[in-house]
Amino acid sequence: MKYAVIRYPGSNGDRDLLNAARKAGGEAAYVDYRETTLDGYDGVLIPGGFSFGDYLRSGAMAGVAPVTQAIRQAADENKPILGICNGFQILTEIGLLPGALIFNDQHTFVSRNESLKIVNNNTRFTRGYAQNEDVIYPVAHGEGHYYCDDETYEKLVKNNQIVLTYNENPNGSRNDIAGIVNTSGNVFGMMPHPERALETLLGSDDGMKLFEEMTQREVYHV
Amino acid sequence: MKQIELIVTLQPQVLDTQGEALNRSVHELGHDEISNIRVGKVLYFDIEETDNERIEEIVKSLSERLFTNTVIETYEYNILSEVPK
Repeated sequence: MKYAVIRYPGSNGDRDLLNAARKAGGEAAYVDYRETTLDGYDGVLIPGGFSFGDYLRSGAMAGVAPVTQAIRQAADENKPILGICNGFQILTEIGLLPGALIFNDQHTFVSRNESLKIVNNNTRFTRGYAQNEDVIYPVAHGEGHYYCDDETYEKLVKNNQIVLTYNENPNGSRNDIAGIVNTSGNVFGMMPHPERALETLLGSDDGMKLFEEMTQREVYHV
Repeated sequence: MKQIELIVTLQPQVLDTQGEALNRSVHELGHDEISNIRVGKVLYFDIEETDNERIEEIVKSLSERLFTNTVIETYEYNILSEVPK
């Protein structure tokens, strides 16, 4: 499994993601946001941070960067795509995932270890976890409040697209949603940072199974 | 060349945390007659085009692709004036 770790001006989770991919046994390389192809890569990792300074709207300018077309193509080719934090914001901006991320309801930046629940372990990202397993991943965001309208929410539930929920909602997200997949199950966006939960010495290694699962399973039937 | 004023606001059902914080501050100043503050953005830009139909087409297209996120925001714009060369 060879991953592309996309780098935008202002990304800051890129090194952690590269490390996570390699630690899980995959290959990984940085890909600049001005690239127009992701041929040769089997998966795409979109890091956290503040792409383009979060100017205008978080993820807005990253969404129209040249690499976006290549990300869409990789999604169409059923390659796994994981967007974390700002990466999740970018995936909603470009319409690969429904809804949007708005300011936390207290308008404060939240940075802490977060208790979460894997509410769908039947995805290519989460099969290593038990259904309803509690995990600790750090969160660090100011705009992590997941918003969607009623119709979208009903679809998310019906299609089993909600994968990760907060046990103690830190930002006002609708129905405690922390992470969702697309209908075909190969695009996963989440606000928490599993790539910062790989070492017990640093508080939690609960993120390791996610990267191992993504990396070690080559063929999927979702 | 004309100047465009583009006003972007959150859709009414979307929580506006900036507006809520401002609302509280305004009440602390004693102005209880003020309520429902909503904070938006204004973009000004020049466009090298004089045909209004073409201007509308460009402004709408860019607003929906980049300037706004239509899942949470709404926009309106005014074609202000000829920009002196």
